[in-house]
This record gives sequence, C-alpha cells and structure tokens, in this order.
Amino acid sequence: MAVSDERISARRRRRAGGQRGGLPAGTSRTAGYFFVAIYVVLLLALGVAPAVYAIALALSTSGGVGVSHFVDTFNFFEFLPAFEHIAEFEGIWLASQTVFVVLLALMVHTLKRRVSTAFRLIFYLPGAMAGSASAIIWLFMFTPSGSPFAFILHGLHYQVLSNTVQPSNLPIVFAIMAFFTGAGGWIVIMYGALNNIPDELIEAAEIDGSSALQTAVRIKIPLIRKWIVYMLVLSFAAGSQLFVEPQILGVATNGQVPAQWSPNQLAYYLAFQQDSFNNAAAVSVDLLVIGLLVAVLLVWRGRLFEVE
Amino acid sequence: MKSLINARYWRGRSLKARVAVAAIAATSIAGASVLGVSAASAKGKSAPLIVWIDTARVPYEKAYMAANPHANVKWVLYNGNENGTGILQSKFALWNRTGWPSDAPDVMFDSQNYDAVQLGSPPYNDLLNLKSYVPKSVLGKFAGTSMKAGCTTPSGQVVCLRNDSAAEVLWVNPTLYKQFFGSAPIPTTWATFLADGTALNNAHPGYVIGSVGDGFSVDDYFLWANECPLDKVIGKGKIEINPGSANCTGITNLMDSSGDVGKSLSDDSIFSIPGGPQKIVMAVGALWEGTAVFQTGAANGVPNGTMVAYPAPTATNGAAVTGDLGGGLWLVSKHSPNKAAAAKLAQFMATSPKIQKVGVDAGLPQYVPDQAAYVSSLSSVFGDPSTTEATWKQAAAQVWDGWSPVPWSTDNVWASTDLANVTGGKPVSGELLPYAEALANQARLAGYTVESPNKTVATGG
Repeated sequence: MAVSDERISARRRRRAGGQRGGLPAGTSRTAGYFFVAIYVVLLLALGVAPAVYAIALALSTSGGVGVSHFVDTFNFFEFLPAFEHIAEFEGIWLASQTVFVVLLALMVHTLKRRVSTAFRLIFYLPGAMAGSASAIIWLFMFTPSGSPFAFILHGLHYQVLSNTVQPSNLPIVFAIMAFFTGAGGWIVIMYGALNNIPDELIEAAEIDGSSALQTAVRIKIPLIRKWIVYMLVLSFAAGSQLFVEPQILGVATNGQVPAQWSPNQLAYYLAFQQDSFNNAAAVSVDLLVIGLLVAVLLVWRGRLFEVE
Repeated sequence: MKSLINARYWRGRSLKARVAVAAIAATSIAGASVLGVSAASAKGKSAPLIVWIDTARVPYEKAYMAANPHANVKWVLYNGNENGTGILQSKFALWNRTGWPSDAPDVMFDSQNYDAVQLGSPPYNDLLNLKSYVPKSVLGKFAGTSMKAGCTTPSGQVVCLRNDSAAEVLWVNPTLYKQFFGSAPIPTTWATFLADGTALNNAHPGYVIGSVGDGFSVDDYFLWANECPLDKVIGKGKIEINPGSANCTGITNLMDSSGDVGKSLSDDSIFSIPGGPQKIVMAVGALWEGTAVFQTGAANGVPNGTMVAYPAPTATNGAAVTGDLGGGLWLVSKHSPNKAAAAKLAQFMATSPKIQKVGVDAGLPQYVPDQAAYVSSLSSVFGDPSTTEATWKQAAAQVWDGWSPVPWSTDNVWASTDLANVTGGKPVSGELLPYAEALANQARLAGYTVESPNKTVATGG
C-alpha cells in the first residue's frame, strides 16, 4: 500500500539523517545556502528592518533618545484595556483551539482513511475564508434578524446586532471567528504529526492492553507535544496582532467596536488617525516584546528545538 | 502530500509571525484598496488638478465638466472618508513623512464634518487657509453658523467650504399622523413629541417616531439638539464636557419617563425599521433623510409628495436650535502646486448654481444664494412644499454651534460605549456619565484639556 511504503521510506530517510555529510558533496549544500539566503534577505528586509525602524522611532524623542513615548502610550486610557482585551481573547481562543484541535485530530486519526479525508476537508473549509471575508460572514451570523443561528441569539435575548457585539462579548466573538478560520488548518497539521507516529509503537501499546483513550493520552499526545507547542507559539503571535476582524466589525457597526480595541488597532489609530508615528511605534514594540517573550518561554518550556 | 501542506503552512505562517511590527505593514489594508481612478481628462500642458470625490458626487463631476468643457481636471473616486475609515488621515500622515507625491489630491470632497478641523490643525496642518483665496463676500453667505462650526480651526483658519446642509428637522408622514392623531397639531416640544410616541406604544405598536439604534441617534438627534455640552470646544485645545447640565439630563429624563425607548423609538437603525419606512409616523432627522430614510418614490418607500418637514422640537431649555447629521465639505490641500485654481474649483463646487441644484446635489445648499432655486424645485418630492421650504431654510440657520468639530467621532464613542446598553433596555439617562467619560478620554488622547464640574470626567479617574 502506498501509505505504508511512504512511511517506510520516511523512516529510512530519518535513519539516514545523521549521515548528511555522505550526500554528494557541494551541489545540495550550495542549493541549501541559496534558498536560505533568499529567506534571510526577505527576513532582513521585511522583518528585521521594520522592527529596527520601529524601535528607532519609538526611542527618538524631541530631546534625543528616551522612553517618553512608551510612558505616554502607557498612560493613554486605551492602552491597558487594549491589552486586557487581547489577553482575554487569547485565553479563550488558545484554550478552545488547543483542546478542540487535538481532540478532533485524534478522533479523525482513528477513522478509516477515506472517511478521515472527508472530515479533514470539512474541518479545513472554514479556513478558506480568512480575515476580512470571515469577518463579513460572521457579521451576518451574529445579526439576530438574519442569522441561521437566530434561535441561539434570541435565546440569549439578543434582538439586534448591537446586542450581540456588546463590549463584554467581543473577546468571545473574535475567538469564535479566529477558531473557525484557523482550527481546520491545524487539524490537518496535527493529523500529519499523528501519522508520523510509528505503527509498531501503537501496535505495541495495544498488545500491552492499552485502551484507545490510554493510547491517545499516554502515547499520541506526548509524541505530538512539539506540534502543539508550535501551534501555540504561532497562534499567540497571530492573535496578539489581531487587527482585521475588530477593524472591519468596527466599520460595519459604525464604531461599536472601538477603533482602539486591540493593541495593533491602537498603534494604527495613533499612526494614521493621530499622525503620531512615534507613539504608534512604541505600542508596536510593546507587542513585539510580548510576542518574543511568550515565544521564548514556550520554546524553552516546550523543548521545541531539542533533538531526540 | 502531507509534507507539502505542512511546508506551505509553514511559509505562510512564519512570515506572518515574523512581521511582528505588523502595525506598520498590516495597516495599509484599510487605506490602500479603496481608491480607484476614474476617467481622466488630461489635455493641456500643465499638470491637471486632481479632485477626489465619492460616488454620490459623480453628478458634480459631470455638471462641472459640462460647465467647463476645457478644464484640465483628473477625477478620482474614493469613499468620501466615510465614517471610521479615515482614508484622508492615513494618507496625509504617510505623505507628511514621505513627502507629498505628484498624484496627491488638490481638492477633496469629504463627508465627515469632523475632518476639516483635524486635518487643518497640528499635527496635520495640511489644508489651505481659504481666507486669502475665496472672497470674503462669498465666505459670508453660507447659512447660519455652518462655516464657523465646521470649517474654522481654533486658530481662526478657514479650511473648508460647506457643501450641503444636514440640519435636523421633524419629518412627518401626514397620512399616518392624521390616521393616529386626527387633527392634533404637529408637536413642537420634545415632551409632546415623546408623548405622541407613548400613545403609539399602547395603541399602535410597530409604528415609530424615530430610533435609538444607530451610533448617531441619541447624540445627534437628542443631545446636540438640546444644547447638551458634551462636545463644546471653548478655546484652543480646551473642551467643556458637562454631563450634569440640565440641557443633557432634561432630555434624557424625558426619554426614559416616556417609555418610548425600545418601542416607538426603535432599537433598530432608522434605515432598517421592521416593516419599512411606512411604519415611521415621524422622525427627527437631517434634511437629506427626507428622501434617504423614507425612500421616497421607491417601491418599498413612501410615495412622492408624502413627507413634510416641520421644525425640530424646541430644546428643553426653550432655545430654537437643532442638531446636524452629515453634510459634505470641500477641502483644498495646502500642498497643491496650484493653490489658486484648486480653491477656485472648490468654490465653484460649493457655490455655483450649476452644481448646487436639484438633480446634481442631494441636500440643501449651505450657500444661501443657491437655496431659493433649490427648494422651489422640490415640490414634486415632498408634500406641503411651502412648509417644507420654510422649515429647511430655517433649520439650516439654526444648527447649535456648541457641538464642535473635533478629531474624534462622537457617534463612534456613543456606539462603542452606550449603544448596546440602550438597545439592551438600560435607561438613557444612566449613559450620560459613561459617555462623557469616554468622550473626555478621546479628548485627552487628542491633546485637549477637559473642563468639567465632574471630577472623573475632568481628570480621567
């Protein structure tokens, strides 16, 4: 069967992994450097340079170099609420995403191949509508008069859109949008990771009397732990930069979502509605620092880069 | 197969994650995609004047080119700086850093009353002071306080010309009114207006006298029109915000005690009342709402010749004033290479009877000499033309100028702070303080000093 062939060859490749130096010298290594070089150039131009520019902007004040922009922005009334909003959103979203993605991937992995392919496609479909498109579709879903889920909204005593998107609901609203946009893609990845678990290992566990649940909890989840951490690192970074959804919902509801709801929106507002690029850069640098800290923490605690 | 999917995912995601300062990169979304260039008529040798207009102003372009067939003008369509999008703010902010490109607009139509003063004041300072380009005699002929209220910066520069008036009147459907209230007079005070609503709540549920369901409803229709000082610039960089004023509490208490909110003052947007515009017995609204809200002449709207404009109710303190919602502005860029020609075009747009006439312009001209011809040609659209005509002219001159143009949208603040509470059934009077606090926060963010007898509002905590 094609699957097992593929797995066997993958395992062989893995076994051969330690002897890279034995490959035909020169050509492949040059190609490797070439491709990495392209990436490094793009990284420097589109990643590092803007970050350096933002840091320079944030630190330059009328009196030379200083932290006054950081102090000023911290004292804005929107500053702390924006970070609270994003923390609440990330908490709801990351928790639900981790639980459901792992659970669904494990369930799909136990299904027959053809059935599981269909399910993976179905899970993946909502992800096709990313960002602005999903915001507009969800806008429709959240409007009690037009939504196919009107019975739920009416059950919550929501009669008009402004009831649904009231301020206290917004973290949940955006978490729902983000979940359906992202979860399908991650289920596919987790499924791939589960497929990499050697069959012998699972079989051995089954022979030793492990139930399906025990296999999932004791064998499969520990073996895909790195992928879960990886998902958390990337999702956290993406979530902390939440922008499109609240921005579009804000325009669509004539401002019911404030233009400074998320820190990224606050930075945009400061730069482009207040013409204050230094303050905007300060908020962006705050975001960068938080993103890096969380990534380092997760990589370190999750031992993401350790080689077995 | 799966490794291919993974690789693709890797690439997309890691790039996204790495652009951690997405504040700068991702933000061009809102600005970049809205502009589309319309037909350019670049004859002549010198650079054409570049004019940005919204789609509703396309008839202006046609009328202008008909009147000036050899004009060297390049017309560009944009969204008119529609509420909350801030296209001009973001473009100007970028150009102030990178230098103004040759395709930057010389003249812009702007649908937001707040914009001119913000864009004409520091840190922007990008609009031409029209005092030295437009004759004083012309500047003096705009209705009432409209130029002072929307186009004059705290330092005294005139940075825009008013297009149409958006003063508020009481739009009445006389057929419905007669059906429910017989020959009773049209209400002239807020108390009698709201009492009519209370009568409808009981006897004819489903029929409305307006809405509280938009971000602009309560602040523009009710608070502004009652001289409630929540947005009153009282000097350069100074604003008065006093939610305890009797002008504010008077009207909100009346609204609460009438029991109309959520009933005859609908929780839905005035543009989407359940049952359509034929369920609106009357509503306080801007001049342009007479056709826009009631969809006059359209299949689901009221028939032509139905709606009649009466003066908006007298403020609870007795003053004959009204609020304002919308109306356009003409802006001229300070960075235009041809300032005189640009100012001349803006003046033509705002004042010429070839532009400010029914069929080209959708609202009453703010330029008084054009008003008579404009209103006299409305008789086919509205009922009782003489009353409607007199009401329009009067309203255009009675807009209270104490609701100042500021670099934040009071409507958006109401929408994000109070709208959900009001449509959720909480009393309107309870929203005055949170609204005032949120406005004060916006004011401080924009560098204003807040003056208020209320300590939380004045200091922010």
